[in-house]
Amino acid sequence: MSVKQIAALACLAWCAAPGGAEVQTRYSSPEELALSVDGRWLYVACTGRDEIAVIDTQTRRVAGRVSVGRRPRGLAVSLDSRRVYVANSWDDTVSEVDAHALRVVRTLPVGQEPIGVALDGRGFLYAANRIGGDVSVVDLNTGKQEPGIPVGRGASYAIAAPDHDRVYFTRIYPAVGEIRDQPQNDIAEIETGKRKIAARMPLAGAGAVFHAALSGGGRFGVAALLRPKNLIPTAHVEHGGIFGNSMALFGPVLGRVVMLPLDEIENYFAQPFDVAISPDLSRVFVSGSGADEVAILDGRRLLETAAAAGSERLANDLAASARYVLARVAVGRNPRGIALSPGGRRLYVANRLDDTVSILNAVRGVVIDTVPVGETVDLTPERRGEQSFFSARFSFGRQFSCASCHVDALTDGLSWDLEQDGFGLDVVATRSLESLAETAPYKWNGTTPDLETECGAISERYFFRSQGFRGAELADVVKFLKSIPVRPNRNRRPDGQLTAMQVRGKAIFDRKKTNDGRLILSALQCRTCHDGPYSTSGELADVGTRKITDRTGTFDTPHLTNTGYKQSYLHDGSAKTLKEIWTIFNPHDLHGVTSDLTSSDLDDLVEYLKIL
Amino acid sequence: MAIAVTPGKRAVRSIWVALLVCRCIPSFSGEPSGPLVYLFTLAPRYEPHAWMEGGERFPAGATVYLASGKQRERRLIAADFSASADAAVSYDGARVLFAGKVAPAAPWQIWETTLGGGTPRRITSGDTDCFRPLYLPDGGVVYTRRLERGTVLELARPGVAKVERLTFAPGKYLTDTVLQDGRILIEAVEENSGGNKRELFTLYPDGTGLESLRCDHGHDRAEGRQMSTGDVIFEERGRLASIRAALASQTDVIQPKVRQLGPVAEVGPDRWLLTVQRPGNSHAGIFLWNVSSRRLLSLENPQNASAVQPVMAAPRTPPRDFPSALTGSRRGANALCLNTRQSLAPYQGVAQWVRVYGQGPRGEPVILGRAEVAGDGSFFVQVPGDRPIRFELLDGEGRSLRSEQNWIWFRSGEQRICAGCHAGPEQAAENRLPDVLRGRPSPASLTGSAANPKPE
Repeated sequence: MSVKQIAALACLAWCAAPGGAEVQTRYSSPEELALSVDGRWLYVACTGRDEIAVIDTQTRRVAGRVSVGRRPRGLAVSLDSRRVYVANSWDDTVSEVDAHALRVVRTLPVGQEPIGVALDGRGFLYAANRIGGDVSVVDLNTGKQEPGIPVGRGASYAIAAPDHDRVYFTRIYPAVGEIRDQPQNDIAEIETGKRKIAARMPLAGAGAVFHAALSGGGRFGVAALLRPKNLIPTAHVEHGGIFGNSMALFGPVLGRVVMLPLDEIENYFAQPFDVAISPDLSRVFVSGSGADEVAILDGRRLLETAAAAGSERLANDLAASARYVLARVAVGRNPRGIALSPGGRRLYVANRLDDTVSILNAVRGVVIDTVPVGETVDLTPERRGEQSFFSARFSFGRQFSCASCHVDALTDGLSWDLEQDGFGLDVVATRSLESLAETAPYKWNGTTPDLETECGAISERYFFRSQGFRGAELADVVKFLKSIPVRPNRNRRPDGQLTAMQVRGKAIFDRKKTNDGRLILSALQCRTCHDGPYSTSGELADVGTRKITDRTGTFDTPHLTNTGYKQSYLHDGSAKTLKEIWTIFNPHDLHGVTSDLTSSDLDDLVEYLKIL
Repeated sequence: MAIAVTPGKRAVRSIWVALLVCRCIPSFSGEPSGPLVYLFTLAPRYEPHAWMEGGERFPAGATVYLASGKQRERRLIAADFSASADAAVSYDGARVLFAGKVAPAAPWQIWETTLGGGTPRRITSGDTDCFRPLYLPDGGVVYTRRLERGTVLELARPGVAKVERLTFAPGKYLTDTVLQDGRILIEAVEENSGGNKRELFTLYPDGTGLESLRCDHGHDRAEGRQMSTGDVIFEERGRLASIRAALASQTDVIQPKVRQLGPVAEVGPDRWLLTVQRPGNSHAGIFLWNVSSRRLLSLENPQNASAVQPVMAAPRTPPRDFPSALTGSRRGANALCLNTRQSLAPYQGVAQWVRVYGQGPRGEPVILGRAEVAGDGSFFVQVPGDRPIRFELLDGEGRSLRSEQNWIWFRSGEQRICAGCHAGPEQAAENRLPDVLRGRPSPASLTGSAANPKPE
């Protein structure tokens, strides 16, 4: 493929449409919610239709819509309710919306894949950038970006303290030392006056951390999170064997961070996502995006439990939730964002995969209405598959869904000890599900011939430990997997041209001789294995990366689509960066000949790989 | 294949007496709006504990009836049988399993018929008693078989000739129900409990994953049934108690002040069918209990017989199938303990060894070998599959720190992880790489074979 061809492809990918087999039917997919200060207007980020729907909470009907950027996610409403800000995650922008005229008045550039936004009341907007791993700070007076604040990989959700002196950020990807170290996540606290990280609240053992909420006084916070058991063989599900669906409690009122479970011994609360705290602290609400429920917690008992001596030992006590969980209320499919009315009487829940918003009487804990957000459309097989993919009802005790590991149908950035291989053997990294369709075989050992086998018999036997996807449900899930859209590649230039580094990197990728003129064996040339539309031969290869725990040295050749966005590299995730593949894990030139390359050469190669 | 059966004289007499009695039951006010449709067993004598001693629960025979309609008309489910009991209804509400005797001297066997009537089909065979059948969601039938000593659980799969054994340790096991998560709830007599003290255990339908439902250990738990709320209601010393999904210990149940004899059948939210022993009378009747209003209404109250084992005859949502991970490719079973010190009853001292016992030909414990306990309290051993085993923790001097009192088993090919020793089901494991899995892990073979690398 010529440089021009690559450039043309790149341009297409960036400018025209997402790659992959985009589902034709566009569902609203309401994902995030925000209320006007008086509680009258509910703003709904409709990720599937690139718009904000505005619900009049008095009439309980959609009163207007605003087209924004691609894949809108996080929302923030200004203190005077005149402006609504929405993070356009695929455009790397934030739309500033006139809340009365319902039109976009400014489009503010931010970092890569903004997910959550928050306002500090000083005229600054903060956007958590998932791919960028940082926080963009935008001066709303000028529209200019201030220097970004590195928060860490997977930065995603933001919440401003009521006094606006602090903004808290969470991340869906934990920091991982060595692959079999315990994941370490944290909540980053940014001091808005200095626009610096003032503190990090460590969350040992936490994987993905989602939304957080603060009490009215800002002295008590709750963040929804997962506690993966990736270091323990996944031999069975009971006793929280695969995931702990949990929350972190923090803030000055506690003076420390305490993690408490939302699960029960035999009834799990899969994938807690968003949190709301009532003004009087009497109730805490948590959406369970895999459980299709909202948990209602007694705020005072929760605080008492967290404040008690020894509460840190309750993180793995599945009987603890009985102390503070009052009820679970069934809502729609894949409930994500929630918003509590100013008086705390109404709770709104965005049911992403039902295209509805549930309205709960927050006092009585019952659903009183369900508002359709988009047009009523028939469910495609892909949509039905997506519903199954994000639902925990297939796993034993409803503990987790596919999306617990494949967060947002991508990855959790972790390496797992999967039991079917034997305890402590063949540790493998969770693979992103982008661009999966034509890259058979599957699994790192390449033993799964097709997605039907992987998602059917293997998943139910070794992951769910309960009846999984079968028949039409399985066919739908496979169709969904093949339809997962590919995120825009930010490393490609909009004009389709290659940068100088990418040109040099491509030359290394295509080379057949070393820098000193020695011929490189065909088997060791990059394109031998990484060629074609997905940059994979689909063959197994031994590239010298076998570890002591591996039973084989040959692994599936991964595709390279959006490889720059992956959270780790190699079959077991032992390489934290692309460059480490060669600087650490290729001492014998078995993964291409790279011993003659300088650090700068490898940087060039990496830059080229990122555009594939 | 249908088998013709001849009713025994004793059973006929029982039925006759019972029907006479049933016709005498007065109607009462407060009956639920819709007619109840349920099955029950009518028996002149009911000895619910007799199975534990190898005795007969229904020494004077028994008969399963279907009660339906506003007048609660009663119909025999197995008219041609000498005795019938232990009715269980399929998830679609169309079929019934029961234990039946074709003649007074014949063994109890498992049969299936339709609720609408039809020729019963025999499920089990052999010359030993089979009873307490339950449907699995995949159509399999799990039941209890009496042995010379004790009982075992077996599984008959549709279309599969060979019956699969599910329990592999000596003892007294009894099928109770199939839980919503697909596990089988059983009751088992705890050895060394100083009597027939029963505890509720769970088991996957392939015989793996044996563990007690809770580790608070009650006085004598039996007849567990799961309500639609997920709560397991059971009988303990004549009273009902509950184990809730959220709690590690049992809780009280609102119930009438009468002696409870057996399983609860859920009619609807807060409405249960109870089996209660009438005051001053050795017989039991079936009553409708409204938990909210605390009203107890008589449904089956025969004078000279007991009405027991109520079962609702209605469709219900089946649990999801359990896909077994036993592949047959592994010999023995692997057991990984993450931290022996994680326990509801911590031991004193430092465990340096774990010893595994098998059972000798006369039932005596036989040492199979021992393996090191790592510094973090973890151990990883291979044990024989489908055989009774016990674990014991030893200190560096070989002194016993903690020893299991009951025999347990792992299935061949099973891989099982424990958070600790008697950690309790409420204890989830901390996400930490156990020391025994560092490097290239392989289990210490404690199978008692010559290849045992850790002989004592």
